[in-house]
Amino acid sequence: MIDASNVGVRVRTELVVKDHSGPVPRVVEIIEIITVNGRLFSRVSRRIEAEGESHADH
Amino acid sequence: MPIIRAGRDTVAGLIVGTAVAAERKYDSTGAVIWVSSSTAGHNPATTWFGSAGGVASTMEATYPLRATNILQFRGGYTTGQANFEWNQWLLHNASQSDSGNPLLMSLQSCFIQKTNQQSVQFTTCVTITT
Repeated sequence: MIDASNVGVRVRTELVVKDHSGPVPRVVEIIEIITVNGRLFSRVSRRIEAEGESHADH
Repeated sequence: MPIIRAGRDTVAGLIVGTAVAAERKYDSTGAVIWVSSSTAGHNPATTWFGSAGGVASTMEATYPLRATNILQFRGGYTTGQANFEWNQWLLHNASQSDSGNPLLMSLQSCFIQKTNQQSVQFTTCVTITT
């Protein structure tokens, strides 16, 4: 863990999940996780419906 | 997402040019993303997931990217890879578990339950802030 008071690390991670069960692979979910200095700041999962609509879970 | 001590020391060694063999750059041929089902607690001295092991993904072409103080790493997992509950991931500089020095380890409970019907593009942006 960074312990200096004036230096930090912010990490934003994105997982793009693609489903391959159908004839054409398509993106079904995007997960975003942000941490600041090792602590979870936010986590959002956005599911993408087949019609292109999306649904966010926080 | 704490920086691991071994990674901290690697950065220090690279800055002044005294890095030893395991202290390699986290560059296009060195950086490796690992994911694991491990649920072990964080220890800043650790360099591996433990007995749970992990699955590696080397950098996609052109990665990592750098924009001033932001580093971006990207790897990919096919339908046949890493089909388990992802609980932790690691940004490493080695494709073998027993070598190199990891920079970052993240512990998040089940951030995805990957199946063999899914592929995943894994991107992480590390911002060094002041």
